[in-house]
Amino acid sequence: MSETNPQEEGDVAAQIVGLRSRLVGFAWSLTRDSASAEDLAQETIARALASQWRFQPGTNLKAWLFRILRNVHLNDVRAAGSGPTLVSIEDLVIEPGGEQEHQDPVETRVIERADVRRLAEVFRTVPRAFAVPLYLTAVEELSYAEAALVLDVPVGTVMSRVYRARRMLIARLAGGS
Amino acid sequence: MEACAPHRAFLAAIADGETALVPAATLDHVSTCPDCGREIRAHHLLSSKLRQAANEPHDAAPRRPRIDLAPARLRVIAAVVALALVGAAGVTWVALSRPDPVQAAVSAASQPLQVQSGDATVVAQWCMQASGRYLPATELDGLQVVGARMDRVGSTDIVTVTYAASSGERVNVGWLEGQVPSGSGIEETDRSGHRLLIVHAQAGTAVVTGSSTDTMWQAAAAIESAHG
Repeated sequence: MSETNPQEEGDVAAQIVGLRSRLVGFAWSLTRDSASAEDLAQETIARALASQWRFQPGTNLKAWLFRILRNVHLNDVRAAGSGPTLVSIEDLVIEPGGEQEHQDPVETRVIERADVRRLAEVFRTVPRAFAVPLYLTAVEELSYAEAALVLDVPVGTVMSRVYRARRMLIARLAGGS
Repeated sequence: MEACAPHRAFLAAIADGETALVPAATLDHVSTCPDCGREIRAHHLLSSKLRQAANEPHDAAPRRPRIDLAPARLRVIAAVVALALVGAAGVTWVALSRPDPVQAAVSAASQPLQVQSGDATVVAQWCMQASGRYLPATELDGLQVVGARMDRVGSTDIVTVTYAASSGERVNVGWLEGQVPSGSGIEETDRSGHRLLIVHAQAGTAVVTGSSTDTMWQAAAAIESAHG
């Protein structure tokens, strides 16, 4: 347990509240539902404020909040009686050609030409087991180690899922599906 | 293309600055492979567009809603905190909500090299492949390049190049891209007890660290004279 003075606690509380929109974004990547994402973010903030003394100054506050959010989400999923969101990578079917071929200049042009709306639409079709690590690292700019901590998986798994998510995105953008 | 196969799964990690997780053989390969270099740049572009997509207010993207009315408990906490912050210093918010890129550069300089070579061209190619950008400099007058590493902290990319002076003392030059400190000329400061120089050159901003102040100034002067 770290010792903090009242000013530091106030700073942390302000930062927690200030990261609300980032929490909603991450929650959306888990739930794919705006209302649920709002609820999840709100619950995360409440829990974080209640236990902010657990946060260690000098570490990544956003990663700490994301980990809380993910745990709240998993508890919600379990309480609802459905399976966990994050599934084993071995259980997932990899799209034919989705990862084995090298990106050629044509695919690079696909990325260059893709407008952000189209990219967001395609991103929604990527399985969450892959999309969430990509969201954390590419959008929220967490390190792989931080994302691994948030998701409670090995760093190598984060690296593998991020790569596969990217390959899926590019393949689907190129295929127009 | 055949030679690229074992390295493909690591290209996204290189684009993300996670080179510490990438085998040395892959880093060696991508430093000379144009196909892999192209894919790394594509991954960079994809990340950039994903961030844009996340900030676009439309149905398909994760929404970044305005901060609406919070429950009473949160509103009270937020109000107290806001008053405390106004009373203290507004800049504290910005300083605490973002990592300090200079501190990050100091930390990066203490980490192991990811590529080791006395050939400045090889190191420059590796840095380009790892970071997706051309370094302002890898050759500095009077200093022998030893190696480099690449790190990313928050929105700042740090490419650290290590040199040896004729005395044998090492000096690290961390080139920052993204969130960089403002200033001009050469600024002497410290972080966590480490003396360092921040060089605000025309070509970019670099953090110079090392055990010898003389060698640090030698490196800073070389950066300025070559790229000031």
